[in-house]
Amino acid sequence: MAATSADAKKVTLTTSDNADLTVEREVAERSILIKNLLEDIGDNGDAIPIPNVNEAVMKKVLEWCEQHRKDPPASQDDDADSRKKSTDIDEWDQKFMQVDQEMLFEIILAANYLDIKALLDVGCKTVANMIKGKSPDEIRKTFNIQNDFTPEEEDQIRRENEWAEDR
Amino acid sequence: MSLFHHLPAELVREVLEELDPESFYLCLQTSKLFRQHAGTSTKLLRDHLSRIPGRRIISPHILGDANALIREFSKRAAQHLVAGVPWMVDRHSWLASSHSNKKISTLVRWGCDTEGNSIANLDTHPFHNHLVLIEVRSNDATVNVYIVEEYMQCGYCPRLKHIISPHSLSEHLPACGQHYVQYQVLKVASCMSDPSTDDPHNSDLMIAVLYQVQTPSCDMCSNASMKLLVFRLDAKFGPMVIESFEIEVERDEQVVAMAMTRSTEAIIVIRHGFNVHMVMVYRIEKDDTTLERHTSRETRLIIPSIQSPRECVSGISVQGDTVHLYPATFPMPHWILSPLSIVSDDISEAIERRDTLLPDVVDVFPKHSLGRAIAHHHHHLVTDPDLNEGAATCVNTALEFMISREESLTGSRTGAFLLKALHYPTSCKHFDLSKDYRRLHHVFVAQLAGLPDLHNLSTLGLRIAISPRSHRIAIASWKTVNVWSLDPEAFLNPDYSLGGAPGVPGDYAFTEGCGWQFYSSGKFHRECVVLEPVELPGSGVVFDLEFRNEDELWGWTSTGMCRWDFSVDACAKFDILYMEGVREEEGHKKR
Repeated sequence: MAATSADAKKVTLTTSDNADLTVEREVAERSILIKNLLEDIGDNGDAIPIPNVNEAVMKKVLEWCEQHRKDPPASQDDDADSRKKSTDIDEWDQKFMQVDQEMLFEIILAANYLDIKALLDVGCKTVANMIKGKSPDEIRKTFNIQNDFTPEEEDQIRRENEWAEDR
Repeated sequence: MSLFHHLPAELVREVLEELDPESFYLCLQTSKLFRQHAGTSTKLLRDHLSRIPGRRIISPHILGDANALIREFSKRAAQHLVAGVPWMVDRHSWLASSHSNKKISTLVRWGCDTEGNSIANLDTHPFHNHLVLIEVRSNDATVNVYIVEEYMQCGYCPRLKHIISPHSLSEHLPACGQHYVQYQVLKVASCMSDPSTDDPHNSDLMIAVLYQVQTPSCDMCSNASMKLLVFRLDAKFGPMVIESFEIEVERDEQVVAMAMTRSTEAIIVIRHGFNVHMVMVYRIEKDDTTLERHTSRETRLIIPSIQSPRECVSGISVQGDTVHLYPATFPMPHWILSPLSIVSDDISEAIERRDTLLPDVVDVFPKHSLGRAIAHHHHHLVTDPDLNEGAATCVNTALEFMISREESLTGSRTGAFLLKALHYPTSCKHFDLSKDYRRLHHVFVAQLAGLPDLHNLSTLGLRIAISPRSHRIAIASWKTVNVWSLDPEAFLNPDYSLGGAPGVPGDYAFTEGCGWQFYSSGKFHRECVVLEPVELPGSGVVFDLEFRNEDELWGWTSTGMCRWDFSVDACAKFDILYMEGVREEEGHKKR
């Protein structure tokens, strides 16, 4: 069935758990993957399968895309500069990223798959900020990481890190 | 399993890239996961290396080797205190007796470095560095000598080695025939035995203790003079009195500072009335015929131009042949007695007020020595058309640590700075860190950020410690302890600092932008490198500070002794013990 003019700017995305989500094309095109797909296959009204992202995560991603629909595309210079300031996350994005850790990592994976560079940056910065200001033990606890160094390996690392000979 | 295991390698690297270098360092200590991911990208490692101080030119065999880059990064991070010190520092406290007189007691460091050797010289010497706490008890005028030494598995601890009790000094402290005389300790000072007679690396510590009758209850006691006893801490026999001085002080005079020289001269600063300060130098002379020894040659020198209470002298130290007098708030030399062997009574020649105003300039300016010289470099036989008409000439440069809060209408710089001093010796002679130079050329090279308000300090002022090899400066203000990291060679040695990169043509003394490349990762202010501090966890009001080595700071605080270890071995340990002999004493008191 041909899409009406009112629906022409909308696209439907089918998530990995078979949920159909209809959004404005401009919003969906924050994803370079979807944008390229739409350009390649044309806007024939068919739902676009997103097999690597489930409904819950896709809704979060689209919420972000909706908020940032008018953002200018990031330049190379912006990318280089943003790396220096890991704490600099927009206030709305900070609230948006206040989710449980599993969801946060899912958003990062989805942003990577959907090729949404700005969202990926926000996700990685959020994780970086969760690491910042923590001791190795606290980092392990926060992310459920096992200390897999043997005592000998830890000792060797310490010796390698020593910079002054005077003990 | 951690969710990090679900992220593809490039995303983990992306997270690692977003980290500041300190968090990146801590991640590398967290698990193999992060180390492995970091090890797959030399670009990531080079990026993080560029975010911390260090030579910008890295040897090619390291550049392409991820493991070598991790090692280089980690070493530099540890050196420049970008290794999570606030979270990882080990803090050990030893509670002191409630009878400890915190203000009079003092921490003393001695070792080969105290001779003012350069960092280059130190590299060729074995490392001898000892810390001693001279603890004064108010209740019974006992002086306890704690030596910091390695003890079993506990690391370095203060061990009680000597007890100097007035009861064992009846031969030296005058007694009253009428009643029991209670003494009090007014001041303690330390110095090393004369190196001309001993091995300089095994010199004995000497301690000077100034005693006074505590509450004179009869005329005889009231008229008793102060006694200054000098003890040599003999390894076999303990404290031995080697000199005894009679110190005469008028009723309206107060001892404010005391120091000893290697040749056992006592230098005492006395306040007379409201703001007249005098320096008295005492020596022991021996009568050749009777062989009797007596205190003699008292020299009274009035310290000129003390105008405000905060200028009042409260500290004194002996640097080589020079005596430095400090104002009440921070131990930066304000008055100089030089040379020490004063034979003239000419006051104006003997005591000199240093010009401590720092001009508001970025170029080289002339002035005599400023602050404390902490490191030096010798540029040997430099050949440059702008220097000495092209003849090969030696040039010395030194790094001076200076704090100033003096302001002038014509413009001045206030705060804590590292200045580079240029010295042109007449022959191939190295800079002497303990000497007071009359004319040097200075240039600002670094500023210490995060200093407390210098116009609003506590009565204790700032307590300052500089590590043996001058890679650390610690400043305590009341309960706050900050440590700054610096690499003296980055400012002094162009070969080291630039790592082979070309310098400015004609800049034979490395004054043009020295340290800029090395510290390019940080901030700059008025053509100065800005050094940021690391704050250590508090342990009470700090009365004294000393470094044992570059990564171990000791404090004498309102609670007792404290050790902050921020070496790579630190793992956020915290424990509280009693100083030797204190637990029993406090227990008795409770009963």
